[in-house]
Amino acid sequence: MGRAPVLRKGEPPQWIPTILPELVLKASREALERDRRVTFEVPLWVTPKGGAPKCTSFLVSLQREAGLKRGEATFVRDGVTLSGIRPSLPPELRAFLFVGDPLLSRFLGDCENPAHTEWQERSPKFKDAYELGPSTLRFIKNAPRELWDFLSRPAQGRDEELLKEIFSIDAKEVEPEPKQEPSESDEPGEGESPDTMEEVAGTDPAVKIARLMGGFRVKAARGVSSVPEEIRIRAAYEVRRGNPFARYSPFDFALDEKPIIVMRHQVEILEMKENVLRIRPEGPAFSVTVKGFDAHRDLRVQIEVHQPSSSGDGS
Amino acid sequence: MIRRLNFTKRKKIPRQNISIRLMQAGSGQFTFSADLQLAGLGLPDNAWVFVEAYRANIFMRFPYGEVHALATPEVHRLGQFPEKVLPLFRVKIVGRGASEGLILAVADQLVPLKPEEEPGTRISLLPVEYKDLGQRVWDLDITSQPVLVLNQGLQRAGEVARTEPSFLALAYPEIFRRILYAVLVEEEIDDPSMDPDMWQCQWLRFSQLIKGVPDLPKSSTGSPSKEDKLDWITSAVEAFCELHRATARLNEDLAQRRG
Repeated sequence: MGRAPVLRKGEPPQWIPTILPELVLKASREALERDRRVTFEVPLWVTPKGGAPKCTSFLVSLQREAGLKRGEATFVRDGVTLSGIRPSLPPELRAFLFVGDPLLSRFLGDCENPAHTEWQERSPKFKDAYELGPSTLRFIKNAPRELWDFLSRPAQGRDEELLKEIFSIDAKEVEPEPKQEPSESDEPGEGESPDTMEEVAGTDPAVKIARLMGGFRVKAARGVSSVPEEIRIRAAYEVRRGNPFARYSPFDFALDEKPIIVMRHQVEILEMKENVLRIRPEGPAFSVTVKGFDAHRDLRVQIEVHQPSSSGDGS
Repeated sequence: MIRRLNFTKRKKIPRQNISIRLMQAGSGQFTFSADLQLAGLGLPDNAWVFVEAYRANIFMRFPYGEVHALATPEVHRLGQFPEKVLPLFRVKIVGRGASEGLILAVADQLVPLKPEEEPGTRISLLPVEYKDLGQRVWDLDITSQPVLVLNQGLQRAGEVARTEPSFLALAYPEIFRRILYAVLVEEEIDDPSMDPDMWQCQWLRFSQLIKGVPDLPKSSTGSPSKEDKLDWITSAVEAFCELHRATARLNEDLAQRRG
């Protein structure tokens, strides 16, 4: 349970940021994050008209409740629940305010309406009975909201999980499917299938890309009889941030210059410049192999397949 | 189709094989413990194991012995990280002998568990940072991965972002749209299966899982046009708003405030 410092005598009580020590704030925030209830004893002064200030206190409990669409607060004085006090509270906050001290209970009893549902600062029995009566009453009624504001004030730094309920995916989604890796050959021949990895192109498996040591091969997918009208291949070394294609430089490599080697089978080369290779397959067993990349760097390869029925350029 | 070709056959260590937990070390700093399950991954017994903590330009490396004989380092204190700055982690398996220095396997962008936090089954996609933004309420930083930046001067900023219907209705659709634009248009990634560890692919996957989001623009007839991509982004944002009943919840909230 946290304890706020006693406010100054003779001054209207106010919820100011320094009212709770940093240590109390920190411990309370951590407890709330774990959905635990946090209770504060809030001391304050009550001064009857013509009398001396007297110290009293009340308790406020806060707890996060997942799924609560609108915050709810319960005010209890001497065992009586006041059903008419409904402060505006944020979602998922459940608050309880307990008044048990006889002095404060009498103070609040004096501003209670006959139905015992509300505390009213204009109550005839109350408004001339206390020094700073209205401001003290507002201080009490605002306690759940103000304390919550202090506790919710953001800590510096970073929170990885705060928006997990809104933006997240199941961890299984990021685990790659286990792949079979056939044996590898650096110089695969026609008709062989020595690739280290084969992947189907998108949802229309017209072509496959195979990884080779320091290169790749694009070829027709097995069982696909139609031959694409044109295939555009773009390559770039991976970068740590951003789009590798946008960051490509001819100093990285150029497909028409050494050490890059392009080998083709049943393919006409339409364009080969910098990092772009456009080919026209001429038979169902077509393939184009590009090698000579720096094998210490990852390579990103983009393949655009234009089918005969396609009239757009697709770029 | 876009593929990333990894010529060195670097493997991925499944995230479920790694558990990293932060512990308070006093004065706002942390130490950590790492539980690594490396058996069955086909890694050489004598390969080095390293755990690295990082955030922006801060980096610390901790040797964890070899694959067959993991050894907990004596020092776990994340002393180079300022108070309250939580690092991310990566685990690297590094070859010896013929493959000296080669990274044989890696797991990156590992979010550590906080003290007493139980391992979750979901991966959070949008971390939140608090900064002084003047009079702006929020910003989106996509420098290395999407991070929602909230104005630290905004009262209850975290709670507002997490629970307020007004923030959900007015901010998140635009945040979502900007992220998808960065993925599809700026980075030209339209295939979530390209590398499931990449944040771009994770956001595409997240989008695909929202009810009502159409299939991604197809690349079988060439790369989808920018217009196709923008249309798809609009559909995804609309489905997101539908999922969260954005306007309806905002109306309810406004009515409650008036009432």
